[in-house]
Amino acid sequence: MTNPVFVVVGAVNRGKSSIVSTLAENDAVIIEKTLGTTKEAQTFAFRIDGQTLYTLIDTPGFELARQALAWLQKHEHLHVDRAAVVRQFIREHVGRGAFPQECELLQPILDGGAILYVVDSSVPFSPLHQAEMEILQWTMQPRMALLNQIHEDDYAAEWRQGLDQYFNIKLEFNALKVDLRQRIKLLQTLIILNAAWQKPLGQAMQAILNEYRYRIEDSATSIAHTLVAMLTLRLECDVPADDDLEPHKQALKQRYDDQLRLLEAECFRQIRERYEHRHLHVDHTGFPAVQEDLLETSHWQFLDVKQWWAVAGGAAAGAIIGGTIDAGVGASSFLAGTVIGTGIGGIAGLVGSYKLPEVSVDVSLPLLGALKLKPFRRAAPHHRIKKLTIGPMQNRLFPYVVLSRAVRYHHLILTRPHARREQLSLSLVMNDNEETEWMTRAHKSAFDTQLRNLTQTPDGSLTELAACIRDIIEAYEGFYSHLALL
Amino acid sequence: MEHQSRDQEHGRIEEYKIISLVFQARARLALRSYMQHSLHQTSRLMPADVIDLAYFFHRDRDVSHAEKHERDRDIALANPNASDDTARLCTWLSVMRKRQGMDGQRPIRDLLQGLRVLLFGIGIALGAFTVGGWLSLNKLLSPEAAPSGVNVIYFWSATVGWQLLMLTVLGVRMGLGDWANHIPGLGGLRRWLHHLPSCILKIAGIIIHRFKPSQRQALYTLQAWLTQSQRYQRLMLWYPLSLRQRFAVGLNLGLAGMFLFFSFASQPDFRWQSEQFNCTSLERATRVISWPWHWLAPQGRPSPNHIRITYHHPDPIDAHSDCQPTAGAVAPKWWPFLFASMLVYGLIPRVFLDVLSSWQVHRAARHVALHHPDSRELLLRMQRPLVDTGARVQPAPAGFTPPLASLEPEREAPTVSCGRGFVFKWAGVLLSDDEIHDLVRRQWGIDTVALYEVGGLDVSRDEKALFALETSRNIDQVLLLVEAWQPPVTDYRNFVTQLRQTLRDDQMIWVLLYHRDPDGDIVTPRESDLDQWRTTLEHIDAWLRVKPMIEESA
Repeated sequence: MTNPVFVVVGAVNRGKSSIVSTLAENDAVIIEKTLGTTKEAQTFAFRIDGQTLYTLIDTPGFELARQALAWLQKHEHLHVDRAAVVRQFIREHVGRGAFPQECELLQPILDGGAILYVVDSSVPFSPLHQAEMEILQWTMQPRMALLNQIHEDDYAAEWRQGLDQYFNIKLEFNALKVDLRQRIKLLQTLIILNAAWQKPLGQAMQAILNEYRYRIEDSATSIAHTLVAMLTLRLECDVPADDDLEPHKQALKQRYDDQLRLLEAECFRQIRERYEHRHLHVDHTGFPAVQEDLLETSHWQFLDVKQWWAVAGGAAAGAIIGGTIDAGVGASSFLAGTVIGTGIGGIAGLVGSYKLPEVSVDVSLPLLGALKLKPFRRAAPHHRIKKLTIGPMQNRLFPYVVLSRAVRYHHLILTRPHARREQLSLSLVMNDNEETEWMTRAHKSAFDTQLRNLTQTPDGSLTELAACIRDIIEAYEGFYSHLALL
Repeated sequence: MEHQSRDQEHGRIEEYKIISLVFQARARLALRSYMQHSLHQTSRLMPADVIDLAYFFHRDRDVSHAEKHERDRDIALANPNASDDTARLCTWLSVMRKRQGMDGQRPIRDLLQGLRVLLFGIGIALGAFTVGGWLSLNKLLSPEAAPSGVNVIYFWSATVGWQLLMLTVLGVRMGLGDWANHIPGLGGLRRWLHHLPSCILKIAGIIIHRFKPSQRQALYTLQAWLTQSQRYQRLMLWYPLSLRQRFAVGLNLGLAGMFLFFSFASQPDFRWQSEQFNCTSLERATRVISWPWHWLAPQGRPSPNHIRITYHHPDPIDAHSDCQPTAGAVAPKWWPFLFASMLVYGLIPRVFLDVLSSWQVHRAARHVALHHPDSRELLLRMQRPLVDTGARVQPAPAGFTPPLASLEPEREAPTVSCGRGFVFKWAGVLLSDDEIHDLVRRQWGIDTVALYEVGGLDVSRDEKALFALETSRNIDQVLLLVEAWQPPVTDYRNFVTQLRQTLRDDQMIWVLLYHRDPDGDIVTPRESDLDQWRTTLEHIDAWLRVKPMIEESA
């Protein structure tokens, strides 16, 4: 039993290549508004460990359907089997320039491919398509119609009526808006064409779901690595003691900020690559084409990163310090230390919640230089320096900001069909009417725990942090609802 | 009776023989299966493997995830017998080394093993030289300068005593766990012992700072690699310990071996002299020291008389009073006691620690290799199926190439207005003839003299329509009504070409785009459709213009 082959056919510019691009997750498939972009039939095989489960074939559109049907009707009497007439049509015209597109799209069908006939349901149904459907019917292969709504108008009802005569199975499938659930539904529907395809298509569906799970895991790992790198980033620079420090401080701060942005850009690139968005256009500066800059604190409030999280962290730290003082005085302070410490810590957390690292100057000189002994100063002139340092990040909200941006970016990439070609320029800011809570209290608690563990055992906690982020992403995506598909 | 007992004895002997044969067979079977298992068990992670892993992970840092997944999954599929994570890692390392051209070569492993052998050899040499030199001293010096005998206390301290001290420090270091933090003083000691090795890194940091800036970067990189020992903490604890124990084993072997040789070859004269120890206290000390072996080898404990006999003091007046030997004393031999001390307090603990540290090194190497974050990702890549959705298929280039330059009309094209019009209605345009007549007159003031439907399933009707146009007279305008949402495919282009062949070269052809909304009303076509028709048709015919059927919504 050979694996199923699905030949995507239809009129020109009806979204065949878009559908193939989305199903094959290939954003290199050429999709243009110009006519006849697809010239040759192209095969996209779905494989697991090298074993092909099914194959998609993108074909050029019908260009001379009426004339081809006229030829077939004229020669119908030559064969009992209509499919044989179609074979003769191909034999007589292939390579001779008369019906190049028709030969190209009919050959894989006659080789055993099932037909996926794509129509644009945003335009009115036209009797012109009757010739195409008639020709496809002559091939006597299993067939199914896909209604791809390219524009806003909806003529699906007209199309369903018009397709009734030739297609028993019709499915609405918008290549630019399809999600994982609809991809799975398409595969489930294809099983109806041939029950023998249940095993390979079932394996394909399971593999797609597993692959999505793996992609979320890998994306979570990338985010975890990025988070650790950002939180531990520390830059230094030595400046001659006699120099004006201000330009050096600004340069170091700029370098630090750029490094943070680059880390985020690299994380976003890895997420895009994981989801096979290899040709996604991004901003020319190399930073992700998002409208809000990572370090622009004015947008943090729109990321559903609650300021009280910084207050809570500061208050907790203050409570510990105050509690220690209370214990030291034998509780004769009546826990005033704890209360005051909580208050001060909370205020400090609130005040510093949007504060980013600044450059600090280390005026201490190396050991021998500090002695200021003349012989040593003369012997080691390069020790007369000041050290500028920036980092690591102490802002308590920053990990949440990074995580929130990354989770949103991941969502945008995950839900972006590969058929979309416009430049990626995304706003990560949540709309006011969105009520989606991206992180539950339980997830926040787990995330806080992992952040604390990071300070003690960075390497050991990386895996746990990635697992925590994975849980957050899966909950955000409602991933578990997809598992009910099978 | 005698016959019976002989038979019984014979029977017992036979029984013992059978039992012995059975045990031998089982032992051989167990040994064979162990050997087979060992031979096939190539999966054993060594410190050299950890280094190789780190090297390959570093090289992979610029490789994309997809390439790594493909490579690692291929390795896993080609080696399906690897059943656990250790076997998978070892298989992966083996394949990667082969690809590196290191077929069969393991330079890091050889280096580390060579280091162990070198340390062992140095230890033996040092131990042998120490004992041999000490015991040969009296041979090398003149009789007047040579000391009278070898001081047992010094000799024992130098060969065994300091090793006991080091073992005690090591025991304290290893034995102090988290519980020590609850005991005043021990917590601090534990932290001090724990951080002692890191002082080396801190000193290195201070030293690095003294170098020139151009040299500092390389040294900081090295320091950074060492500080990653947090990840390799257990390995960095046990591996140096293992190396030290290997040296110590060699040292003790050298000490003991050379001591034995000298004891039999030259029979050194062992005595003792001390102001702090008298015979009684020394006898007590030797009793304590020889406790582990005296029950097995009583001659390994010096008798009280033995101790008295070998006591030496240059001034008999100042000698200890309890060190007078009894009469009839046997010739003393200190060598059993010294040799037993070297074995029990020197060699045996070091061998034990060597085996223990080697085992721990293997455990730590395995732990590091398996729990390294990059290792976890590698194992995941090996186990996850490689799903190829066709994402990396390179598509063929686009087929349609519009002409490079548009054809300019020789004179300015007239507008659609007035006159007698010949109208072609493409199949699918859902307008009746009367509606078309009316629309054309209202929009452009044209009188429709003929209207033919073309583009239907019957292709002969196209030819008939064109023939009708060819035979018509006094036609001012030629109009072609098409559905705007249909792409201008070859069918349309061919018809336009045929139309041009029927008309004179400068006769204008107007292609009017028809579009309707879901309610059926005629509306202006989409801008994208208009552009597509214009781009396609106006490039192939200079006297053809594309216009919407109505300029605004009806």
